[in-house]
Formats: sequence, structure tokens, C-alpha cells
Amino acid sequence: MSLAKVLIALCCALTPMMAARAAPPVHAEGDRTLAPYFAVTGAAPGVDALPLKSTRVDIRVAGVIADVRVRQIYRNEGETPLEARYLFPASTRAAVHAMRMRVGERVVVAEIREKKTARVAYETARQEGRSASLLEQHRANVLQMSVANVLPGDEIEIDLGYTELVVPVDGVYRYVHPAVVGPRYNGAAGSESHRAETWVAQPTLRADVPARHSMAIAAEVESPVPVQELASPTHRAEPQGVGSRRARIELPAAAEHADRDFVLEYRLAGRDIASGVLLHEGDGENHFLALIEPPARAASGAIVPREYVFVLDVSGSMHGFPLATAKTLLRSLVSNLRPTDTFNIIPFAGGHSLLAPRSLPATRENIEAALAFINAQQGRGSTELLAALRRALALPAEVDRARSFVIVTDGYVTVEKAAFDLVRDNLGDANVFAFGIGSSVNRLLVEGLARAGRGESFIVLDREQAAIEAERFRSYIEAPLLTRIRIDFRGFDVYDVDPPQVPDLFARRPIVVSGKFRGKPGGAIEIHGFTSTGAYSTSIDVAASVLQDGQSKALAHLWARNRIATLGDYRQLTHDSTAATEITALGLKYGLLTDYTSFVAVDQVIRNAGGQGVSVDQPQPLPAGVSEFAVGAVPSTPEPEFMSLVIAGGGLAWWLRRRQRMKAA
Amino acid sequence: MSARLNARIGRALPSPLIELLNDAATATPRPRAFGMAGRPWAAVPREIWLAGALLAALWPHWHYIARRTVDGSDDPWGILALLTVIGLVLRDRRYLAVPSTAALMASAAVALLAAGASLVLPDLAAAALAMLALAVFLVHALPGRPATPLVALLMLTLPLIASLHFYLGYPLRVFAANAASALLSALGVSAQAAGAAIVHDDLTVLIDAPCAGIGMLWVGSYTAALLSYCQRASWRTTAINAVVACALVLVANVLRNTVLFFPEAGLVTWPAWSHEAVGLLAFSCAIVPLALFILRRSA
Repeated sequence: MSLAKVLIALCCALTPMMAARAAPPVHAEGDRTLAPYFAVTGAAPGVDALPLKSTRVDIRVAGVIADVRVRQIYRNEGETPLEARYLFPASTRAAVHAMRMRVGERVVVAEIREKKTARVAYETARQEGRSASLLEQHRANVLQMSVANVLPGDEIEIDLGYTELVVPVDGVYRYVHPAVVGPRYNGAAGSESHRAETWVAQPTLRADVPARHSMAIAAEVESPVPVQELASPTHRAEPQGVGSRRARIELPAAAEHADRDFVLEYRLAGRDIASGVLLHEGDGENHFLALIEPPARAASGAIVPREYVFVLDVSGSMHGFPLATAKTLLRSLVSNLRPTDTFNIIPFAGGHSLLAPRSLPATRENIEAALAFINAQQGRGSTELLAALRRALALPAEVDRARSFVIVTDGYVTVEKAAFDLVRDNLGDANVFAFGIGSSVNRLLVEGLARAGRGESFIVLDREQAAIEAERFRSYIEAPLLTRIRIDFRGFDVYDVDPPQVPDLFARRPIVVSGKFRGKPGGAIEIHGFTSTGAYSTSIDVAASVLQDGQSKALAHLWARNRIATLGDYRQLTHDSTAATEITALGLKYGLLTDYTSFVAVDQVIRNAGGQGVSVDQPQPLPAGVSEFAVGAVPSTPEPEFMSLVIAGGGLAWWLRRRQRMKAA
Repeated sequence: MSARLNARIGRALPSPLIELLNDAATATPRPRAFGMAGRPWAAVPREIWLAGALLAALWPHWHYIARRTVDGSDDPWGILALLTVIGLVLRDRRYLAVPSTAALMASAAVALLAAGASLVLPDLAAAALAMLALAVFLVHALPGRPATPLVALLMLTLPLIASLHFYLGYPLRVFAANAASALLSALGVSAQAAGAAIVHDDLTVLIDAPCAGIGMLWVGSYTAALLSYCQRASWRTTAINAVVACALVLVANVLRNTVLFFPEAGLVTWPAWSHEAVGLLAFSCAIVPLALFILRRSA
């Protein structure tokens, strides 16, 4: 064999090996760890990396039903066609029922389709060069809008419509419009805290950078009785019309409105609970929604010995203001324990620890030791919620002692449903109370933990509210309003009633049941249960309690949304399960956005043949008060600022030289 | 003289520059520049004209430096060094003189090298050569003033920080992590270096880019160069001063990282401002001995 042939053979053997070395490793989809990251904008010349320019929210609350319109405006100010993707939050109770897209003068009304079919329709339109939009649901409170073929100079408007029920708690009506999806902790690929969902890997702005789009909010409350108070505890705004039957509050368009939940609170004159029945008679089926006033809270005569297990999130996202608020809350909770109570504390981040191997009596010494233990906690690291919950639920329980788990967290995880299942399957006779801390809490997790744990959820926006919420918690625990609730319908032919089992009632809010009915509405709805003083029963006459409400046509959407929540919001489902099939059918029948159905709108005009362009993800601002540790930043020891160094170095050198010259003189 | 210069460097020099250089090398008396007597600008000293011409000839490099300084790709700390050089030149303006022919030729040669280098070398290296050309000119325009510290200050006007972070940052971080963890272990704290991080129990404290000590190193070098200039240090003394400055800053950075490890690891709770205070204290621990070292040596 000649030398040339040897060399050629060698090259043939080595070339693929070198190519294999040079090729990037191929990861299976499930092997990729998906996590939020800090956004870098302006890296690609000619690409508008911030296509969402503004969001406008119009809220109209009539009676107990809120009708909400959200308008998102996307504009491409670059030179390259875009696919704009924007992850945004929704209320956990919102029934999203409408979407339309406006491209220039053309308006396209979106259709509801099965999720995969909608995605295929959208991708096809994108590749063909048609403008299209797709609205998908990743969680009950996390939605994603994708807008394809936004050409340079284009302005595309997307309008969403949703409705939700607003019921008073302790006399206060509270409507929440979330504005930002907090950065979710997603564990390493393959771990139990990981979810292979691409939406989690969101670009996030640095802590001192405001949102890159403006948000305007207008809220109007209409009531048959005068609106007594109207305010937003989260935003500075001047209410108008308070004292009349129509009151309004408005926030002008500004970027600083987009980094925290908008909370609207109001009270009505007279009775603070709207009790009665809403009815809607449709073509094929009739719907009702009953709101039943709970009994007044009765002070409990007997003091039941209790055990409290506090599970405190001290992960990186809780660093700073949220943890300071959580500590204030926990200090209030622990300090108010009775001497007959016992308690334990489990702070968790990447790992978890215990105050004591077994719950301690609430003596002065133990409470002081607990306060010192709480004060020493720092918000750092990851959020291994499931391991901490498992540890808490496995703590040995004491016989004859009522047990309550109190979970304090911002909820920035991706394992919500796994946590609900874990609590539901291991709770025994205990209750779970969940406190959400911060300006943009993951309310799905907080509400879901309480729901799975047959308890109550609380949201603490700031330190001032911590003591108030701690006091509410104490009153709920000591005297639940109504337990073991049973509802009977006498002479009222109802079916598909939701919820099938009404949970115990701690807060002073109406019992809400919805469903369908046949024939003429009539008869009575009877409520049976137990208060802290004994058995309780009440009933309402359906015909005499019908509430006149202009928005009762929304009842079908509200019922379907409640049914979907019961079926799937708070438990893990497989795609082929009966519940998933039912949710899909409900979504398609009632035109609702669900985990299995999406809205898609496709323009008929081909505007960008070939669908060339780039995809950009609109970066999320960090929620107000949340530190960069939430995005995986780890503790570090940065140098002092440059100017401080110069002043220190220059000043010292100058002073020493001057001193030396004076000595020499 | 003019013929001799042309013969030496041929036609490669840009013709206006060579005219200026030739004229500067031969002409007397000083104020009569380019036969423009009687005009307002005729009173401008010749060395200023020459410096202006040199600056004009090297404009692509200044443009690069200015762009890097303001476009956010580098920290604009070079402005401080530039203002310092301008201040020193203004302070010592009575020493200004027309550089010798040899100096002008050397400056021109380096300028040529910078022009050629921009074709083959990275922009920063070419800009460094351009700055060297200016330094050669300036050093000879200020005869009797310390040359090496002036060159050092001029080099500090370059947009160096991003490159220092890129090439020097990681080794500095690894050094700081290892030295700090050794110090912590000596203090009885369980800490282990893992690359550019210190691991304590299940917590990682990262020595990331802003912790590498590049800022302290720059300000330490700047202080050493400025003090050396003020103390009229020779090149040998300036070099020793620079080495001492770097060594002290490295030690100070290790101390800073060691102390700040305690709050970052959650072992103690300090207010937020204490981070800055600890950093400045550690930096002072480097600057005070450095200044005393330089001042006492020259005394």
C-alpha cells in the first residue's frame, strides 16, 4: 500500500471522529434543564426584541361577576419579521372565553380548538407567512400568547375576554389582576422538582429594570346598592364615584404597573354578603349559581389542643422583602400560640431542616428559641418544595391533638399539581393553610395547597398585612364557620352540581354552588353542617332569592370553569384520562381556554411568503420586591463601586503624600 | 534634514505628517509655525501642532477607544486616566518642548506600526500601539518629567476592563477562591474551593466576575502610576511599584472575599452597606501600604 493511500485512509478514519468531537452533544428533550434566565436585548441588530408595547385591562364588575377585556398591542419597530411570544399570568378563576386579532383593518375572531390542532394550525399559518395568533394555557394562571409574522412596522392588536366570580371575604370584595409571571424554580432534569416545559425558560429583566411594556388598568364596579369603599392596596389611584352605585378606578399606562398584581378592593353598603341565586335559561341547558350566606362566627367554648407545623420557604426568590415579610408573619403566628399548643418549624430551600425532631410545647423558652431560629434564616438557593412537604407530612403526629400545617411561600415552582397530590394523599385528619408572600404570588399553588389540605389560603402583600393575616388565621383556626357541609336541593331539579363536595368554611364568605337545572326554577336549597357550637342548618327559597343581574349569561362559562377546576386544576392528569377528555369536551363546548384547548386566529392574507423571521420572547420584569436570587443568581462578594474605590484610593494617597511633604517641610 | 528623514523612512509616512515632523525637527524659533506668522493661530506652540497632527493621524484608534468607552461594551474608567494625563500635562506645561528628531521619528514609526497593526491585530492591541506612539511623543515633549508612569497612565486610558475580565478574570477568581477557602479553613470554617466558588455545607458562594478584583487592580495600578509620576520615579522604581501594587491588591481581594463569605454564607447577618464598607476597608489595606512604600522609597 502506498503512502498516499495510507494517508487517505487515515484521513477517512479521522475526519468523522473529529466531526463527532466538534458536534454539539444532542440532548433528549427531557434531559434539558429549563430555567428562567436574565434577558439580553439588543444583541441582534435589526430585531425588535420587545414587540409587546402595551397592555390595557378593562374590568367591569356587576354584582358578583367580573367581565374583563385585555388588549395587548404588538408592534415591530425593527427591520426583521417576528414571531412574538409573551408569557403572562391570569387569575386562577378566570374563564377565558374570547379572543380576536386585528391586523391593520382586518379583524379575525379566534376559534377554540384542541391544543395540538390549534398549534398545528398556527405553525402552518406561520410557515405560510400569514399573521396568526395562538393563546395557550400552561397552568390555570399561566398563559402564553404567540403572534406570528409581525412584519416591520406592523401593529397587531389582540383582545381577550374572560369572566370570573367575585365573592366577598369578611365583607370585602377583592378582584385580582395578575401582571407578571414570577420566575419559577425548575429542578435539574430528571429530578422530581423538574418539569420539561419550555415556558419555564423565560427571559427575565434585572431587578432594577422596569417592564418593557406599559400597562393601563380601568376598573368599574356597578352595584344595586352604593359602593361604600373602593381602593387598590397595590397601586396608587384615585377612586371616583364612591358612595354611588357606580364607582371607578383608573391607572394610566405606565411600565411600573406591570411588575405586581393589581388588587381591587371594595365594600358595599348594607349587607356585606350577596346572598341569592343567579339563573340563566339557555337554548339547550339552564344554569344556576347559588351564593348562600354562612352563619356568624361563634366563639368556641372548648379549647382544642393543637399542633402547628410551619413550613417556611427560604429559597432565593424569598430573599429580601418576601422573607422579611414571611418572618414578620411567622413571628406573629408563633408568638400567639397557646401554652397547650405544640409546634415545629421546617425552613426549606435546596434542603430543609427542623427546629426540633418532634413538635415542641409552646412555652416562652421554646417560642424565643423559635424566633431566633426564624431570624437566622436567609433566602438562598433552590426550592425543593416536595421534599420539605414530604418531611413535614411524615412528622409523627400526637394523638388527641388537632394538627395544622402552615405553608409560607411565594409559590415559584413548577410542581404545583404534584404538591397538591402529595398533600391530598398524606394529610390524614390535618388541615393545610397556605400563605402566599409577595407582590405577584403563584396563587395557583397557594390556593391549591389550601384546597387540597381542606384549609384556607392567605395572601400577604407587605409587612403591614402580616399581623392582620396572622390574626385572621388565628380566628379561623379557633372557630371555623362551618364544617362537614352538605347541600340538599328540595324541589329544584338540578344536575352537574359543582363542587360535588363543599369544603369546610373558615373565612366569612358565601358558600358557592353552581350547576344546571331542568324545568322551572323553584323549591329550596338546604345547607347542613357544624359550627364551633354545634349542628347548623339553613335554607333559601330559590324563587324568592333570584338575583337580578345583567351578566347572568356568563353563568355557563363560570359553571364550566368551576367544573374544569374541580376536574383538573388541582391534580395531575394523564392526557388520556377520563378527566382530561371531559375537560377537552368542556373547553370545546363552552369555548373556554383549558390545559387541553387553545384559541387560534389566522389571517387569510399571506404577508410574509416563506414565513422568514425570528422568534422573540418578551422578557418578564422581576416581580416588585423579588431579588435576582429568584433567577438562580447565587451569593457572591462583589467589589465596591468604582467611584468609591477611586475616592478611597485617591484620598488616602493624597493624604499620605501631603502628610509626608508637611513632615519634610 | 528633511531629505535625510525622507530617505530614512521613505514614502510610507503620510505626507502631511512627515512634513510636520520634518518641519518640527528643523524649524526655529518656536512660534513661527508653517510660515503662518501674523495669524491668530501662529502663537500656538509648535509641539501642540505636532501633537494635534499625531492625534489626527491616529484618529481611527481614538474613535475605537471612544466608541468602546461610551457604547457600554466596556467600563469607561479610562476617562479618569485620560483626565489625569491632561491634568498632569497642564500642570507641567512649562516643561513642554518640541521633541527631538529621533523622538519624533520613533513616535512616527510607532504610529505607522499602529496603522499597520490595525489590519492584522485586534483593535485593542492596535490602539495600544497608537497610545504608545502618543506616549513617545508626550514623554519627549515633557523632558525631565517621569516617563514610565506617564506611559502607564496613558495605557490605562485604553478600554481594558472587559479584556482583563476575559483573560485575567478567571485565574484571579480561582486564586481568590482557593486563597480565601484556605484562610477560612485556617479559621475553622468548613469551606472548600470548587473552581471559582467556595462551597460551605450545601451552599455555594460564587467568586464571579464582579468579585475578581479587576476594579481594585485597575485603581491600584492607577494609584501606583500617579504616585510614581508625582514622586518622579524611574522606570525601574515604577515597575517595582506596579508589582507591589498588584501583589497588595491581590491580597486585599482575598481578605475581602474571606470576610464577605461570612454574611454571604449566612453565618452572620450584616446590613447591606457593610459589603461596600468591607470592600473599601480591604482596598485601603492595600492602598495605604502601597502609598507608604512609594513615598518612603522616593524620600
